[in-house]
Amino acid sequence: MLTFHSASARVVNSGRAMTECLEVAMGNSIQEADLIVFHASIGHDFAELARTAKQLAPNARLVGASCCGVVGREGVSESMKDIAVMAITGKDFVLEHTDGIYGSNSYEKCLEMARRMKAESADINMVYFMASGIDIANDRCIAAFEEVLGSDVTIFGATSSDNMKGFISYQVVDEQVTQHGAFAIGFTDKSLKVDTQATHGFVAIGEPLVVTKSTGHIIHELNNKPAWTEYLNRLGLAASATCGDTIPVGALGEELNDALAAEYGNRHILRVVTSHTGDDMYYATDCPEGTKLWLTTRDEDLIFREMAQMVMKMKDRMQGKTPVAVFHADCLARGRFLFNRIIKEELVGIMQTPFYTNGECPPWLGMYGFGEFARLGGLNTYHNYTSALYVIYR
Amino acid sequence: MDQPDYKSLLEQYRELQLRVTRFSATQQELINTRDRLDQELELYKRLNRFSQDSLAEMSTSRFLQLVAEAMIELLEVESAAAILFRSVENPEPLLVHEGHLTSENTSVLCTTLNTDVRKHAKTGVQLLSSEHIQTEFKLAEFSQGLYLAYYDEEGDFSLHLIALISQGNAPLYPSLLPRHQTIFGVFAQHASAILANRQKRKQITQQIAVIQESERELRKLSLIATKTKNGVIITDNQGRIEWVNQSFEQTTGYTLIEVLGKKPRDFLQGPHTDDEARKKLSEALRNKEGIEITLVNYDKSGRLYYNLLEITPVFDDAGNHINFIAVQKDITEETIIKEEIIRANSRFERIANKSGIGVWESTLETGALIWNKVLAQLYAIPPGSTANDFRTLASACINADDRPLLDETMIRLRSGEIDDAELEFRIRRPSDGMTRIIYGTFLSERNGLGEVVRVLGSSLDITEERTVEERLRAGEAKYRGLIESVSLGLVESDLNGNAVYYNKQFISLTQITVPALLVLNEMPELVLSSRVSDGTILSYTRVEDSVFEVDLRRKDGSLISLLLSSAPVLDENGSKSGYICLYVDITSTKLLRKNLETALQERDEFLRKVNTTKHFYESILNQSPSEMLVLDSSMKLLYANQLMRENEPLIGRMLDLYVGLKLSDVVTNDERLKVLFEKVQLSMQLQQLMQFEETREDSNNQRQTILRSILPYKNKAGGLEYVIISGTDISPLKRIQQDVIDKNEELKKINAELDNFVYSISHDLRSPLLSIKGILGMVSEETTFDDQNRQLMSMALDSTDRLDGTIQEILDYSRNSRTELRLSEVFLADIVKNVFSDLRYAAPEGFMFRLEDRIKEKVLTDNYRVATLLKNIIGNAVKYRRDTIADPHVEVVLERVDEYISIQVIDNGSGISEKNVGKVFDMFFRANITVTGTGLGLYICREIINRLGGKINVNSIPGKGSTFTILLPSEYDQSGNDLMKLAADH
Repeated sequence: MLTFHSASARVVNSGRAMTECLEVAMGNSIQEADLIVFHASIGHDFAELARTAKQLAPNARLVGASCCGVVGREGVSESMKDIAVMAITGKDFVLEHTDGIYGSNSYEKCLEMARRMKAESADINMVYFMASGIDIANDRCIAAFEEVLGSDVTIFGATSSDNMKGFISYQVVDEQVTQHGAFAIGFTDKSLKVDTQATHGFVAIGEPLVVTKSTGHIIHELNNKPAWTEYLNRLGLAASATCGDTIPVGALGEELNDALAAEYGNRHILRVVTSHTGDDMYYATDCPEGTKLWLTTRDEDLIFREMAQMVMKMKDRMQGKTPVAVFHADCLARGRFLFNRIIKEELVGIMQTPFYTNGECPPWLGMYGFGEFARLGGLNTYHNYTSALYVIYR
Repeated sequence: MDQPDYKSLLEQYRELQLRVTRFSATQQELINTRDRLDQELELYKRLNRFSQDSLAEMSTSRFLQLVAEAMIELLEVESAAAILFRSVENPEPLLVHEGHLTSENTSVLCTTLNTDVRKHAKTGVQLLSSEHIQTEFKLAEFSQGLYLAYYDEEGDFSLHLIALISQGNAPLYPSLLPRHQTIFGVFAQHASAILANRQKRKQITQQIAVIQESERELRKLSLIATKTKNGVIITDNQGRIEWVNQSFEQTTGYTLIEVLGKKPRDFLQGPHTDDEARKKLSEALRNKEGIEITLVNYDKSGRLYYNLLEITPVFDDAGNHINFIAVQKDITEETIIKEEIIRANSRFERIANKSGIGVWESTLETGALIWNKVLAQLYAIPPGSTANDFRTLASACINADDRPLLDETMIRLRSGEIDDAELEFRIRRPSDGMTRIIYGTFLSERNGLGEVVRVLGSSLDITEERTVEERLRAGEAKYRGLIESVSLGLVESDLNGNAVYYNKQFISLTQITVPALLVLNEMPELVLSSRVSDGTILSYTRVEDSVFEVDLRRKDGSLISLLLSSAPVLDENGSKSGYICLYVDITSTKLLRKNLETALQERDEFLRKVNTTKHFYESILNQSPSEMLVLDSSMKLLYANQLMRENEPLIGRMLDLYVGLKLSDVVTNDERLKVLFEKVQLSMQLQQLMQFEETREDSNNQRQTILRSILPYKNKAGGLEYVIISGTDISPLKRIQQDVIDKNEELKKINAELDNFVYSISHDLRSPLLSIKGILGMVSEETTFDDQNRQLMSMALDSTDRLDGTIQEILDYSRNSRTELRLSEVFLADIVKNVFSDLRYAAPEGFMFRLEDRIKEKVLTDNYRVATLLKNIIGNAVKYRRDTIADPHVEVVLERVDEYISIQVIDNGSGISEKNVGKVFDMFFRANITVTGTGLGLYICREIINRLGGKINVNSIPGKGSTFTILLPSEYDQSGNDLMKLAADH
């Protein structure tokens, strides 16, 4: 049976940061950890983080990813030196990883991982998936896992990121640090269930951009014009603008059908562009020609309202059960560059407080990344610009 | 009012849409501004936190760590370093780095910065470009940075702060902005100020600690000065007393009040105070130098005492002389005792010197060493030498072999393990280089606690005594050793013959155990008396007056011959006091003499027999039809038989005329003999029989062919002893041989013609035969034939087939002998399969053809010949199958065996009887006459295998089956020579 313990900290020295987190999370029982999951902002030395964790808990498997900031029981923090850790005891999990994953081979790489996981255990009931956030086709990843494990298995997690520059992102498995890797934890503790949902609170504006030429997840043309130039033109940004400049203001929305919109609380699901090569934009999912993409703008009232609604719905679905841990993925565009600190803390308060038990926050591991996985309309779905909660209860 | 047209409306709509979407960018700007304000607030909080943290008590390196971390926190850069040089002269920096900098990076950085600290310190905050970082600071991979150096002249330290970002690690900011410079500058000043304060605080703390320590020391000194048993005087810089302690008052009888302001010399010195010492003291005080000196002083009552005085000048921090501190000790008792000891030592030393005994004494605590004149002379120690000089010089004299024992003894004495020791050791006396033997005694002296405090000893030269003793011992030992080591028996007796000495050899020779019984009343007769109880004298012979040969039967029954010689022993007055008899064992000598005589007789007899034998063999050799010549190993002519002398008159003459002539001397200009000489040389060199033919003309001028044989003859040890040259006239044989060769050539020609004839005939016969076969085949299809005619036609066809088979085999044989090998790379399995295919219709249904190919690659061979070979052998397996068994079959196994290709043809047919197995390869041999055949098939196989250079072997069990094993070479050269060689070998 799995048990969860979390902590977060903001410490400049990477070794001390990991040590402090593990000490807070596990107390004197660090060596009893069987699995350590961590997220650290890009300023940390990931090799040093891994070394320290392995020294302190030599028997534990270790996975981690870079991000733009973290959310823990201690609150939200966005700096170059944040870290959040979820230490888990128990053997009811399988762990697989891969390297060299890109948009072009996302499906195949995930398929291999899923097959290995299934070979290790047939009892996987949920998968925590974390991949490189640069050049990846996330819907293909979902398809691969579902093909092997079935669509009943919930896929939750995020894509790793940097400081919204779209330069680099790191993934760690044990002491191996990669830049285009991915890992998946298959939980096999049958006593556990996971409930997932995502929300964004953005409003579509103006006429949509129509994808007129694309290959897989790469958009070549919008409105019959070179994609990136047209995108920047609509955003009113200079031709020298980077992805980092577009992310806060350039959320692209795809229209949902009525049923999904009702569940989602919003008419559009959002997508992000994390990279471009010339005029080719690297979209986060496959984007066939004819797809309509709306530019969107945030609506603070809507953000807060939808967040409160989502949490309440999740609480209702739990039917009074106590959460044993919460994993949380937030879009980095909702962090430093979209909300100021106070709004972020208020938002985190809204999402955390309802899950408190006896005034205490459950173990919480949250991160600001490039994208989030959560079910929508009963289907495993990839999201951008959302806050996604993965509440694990027993 | 004008109606706007559609185009205008569309344009306005697009404009509006752009404004709407761009509104969010403007809105974002506002958010960013608000966020920046929030960040600045956070910044001040972080700076404040750093200030608070850095003021806490911590080490400098911890402080620097805090600085490096604060830089990263405040600027949100990825790497930072803080480097402190504690002084301009001190090149060792204190370095702390954080983030993605490595130790190697920062090590280079330190070296660079240390080159000119002050230069860097003057430049203020620098915004570093990528190029600047690489060239100036030797750091790669960073795109931008901030740097500031602070030099504190008062504290003599410099602090260098550097903050870096790179594109690769996704910094929060793509480039550092002016506000970052401002923050960095403020922080750097702040950190430098804190560091300066820390340094000052540290200095003050250290000074306070020094003062506190000084105070503690002062209190201790004050206590010591007051309570010590030694007198303590403190004067001003002029020597006037400012303070004395209790002990001074007790020793001198003067109180502090009495002596305050006075100089000690005014009341302590008196008539017996040594002027020289007084002058030394005055000079030291004048020069403000410390001094230790013993003075004769007087106390208040006028008592004389010896005062050991130690005076130390005292200076303040500015170097001004302010006081003298004098510590005095009354050493009167020690001085008196010491003087008494010196006197006693002096007396003792005089005695030692007179008796030639060297004396020394070593005090362990001080290392002091004293020695007397005797030792000084012995070891050539010059006057005025120090203790160390003595040890060095004396040690150098001691024999290297004796030194370890001497050193060990000294160590044991010093450690208290032993209290005394006596040793003899050798030295090399420096004065004359002579080796001297020293008898040394060693003693240790202990104090009241039982600790060894002194070691002393004496050295006495006993060389002369030892030399005399040594000579005496050596002489006696030499004499005894000589007597015992000789092989002579020796007995020394008194005048009555009672043995006073006898050696072991005497007992050994005579086995007489009680030599006292040898009574010698008169020399020498009585020595031979029968009163020798342990043995029996069998005979004796007087050789000279006092020399006898005696044959003695000894106690164990053995015989010994002794040569006995005696002489009288004279005393100091020349009177006879006894006898000495010497006994020499001459048994073997006598035996040798006898053997020699026998040997001479045998030699004469042998020579006679040899001469007889020699004449016998010479007569045989002279009758031999071959010429014989014998040379020794140096090619000297030894012997030639009669025929050789006649046919080679030159050799014969030379043998008669000269003794010891060599073959080379005979050769001269005779070409034939020159060749012979060369062949003999070669034969001797190779040490093997050599034969060659030569021609010459006989006495009738007839041409002769001679077969020469040269045989090097070796003795049993393998050494060359003789060379035997023989010559045989083979002229008749040569003539016969030539006839045979001629006839053989003729036969070959006839054979070849016959082969051609057979081939042509066979070939010519086959064409009409095949026509006949065809016609018979067509005729046999005629349906009007009755059974008898059909049977006749069938018989005619069978006979034609047999005849065609026979002709085919003859052609095969002929082709094999006529045609050259045609080698090519082929798969043997393909050949086998083709043969199987050809024979499939000759075998009944159910007969199995099996192939096991373990080679699976091409081999070099003659495709046609191998096919013919296998067709014959596999065909036999089909032909001689047993139809009565369940699985009639033939199996072919292909594999490599060593350097051969192996083809095994295994069948379970009728087999071959043991008596026929050896004949199956003979021409026209048929082991089984129940089946049609020519008897040529296996003969052709053998010929083909010979042509291919292979081997064939057959194993067969009648009624069980046969196995034919064919081995073919796997390699051929282009000419096929190897093939022929292989064939010949087989």
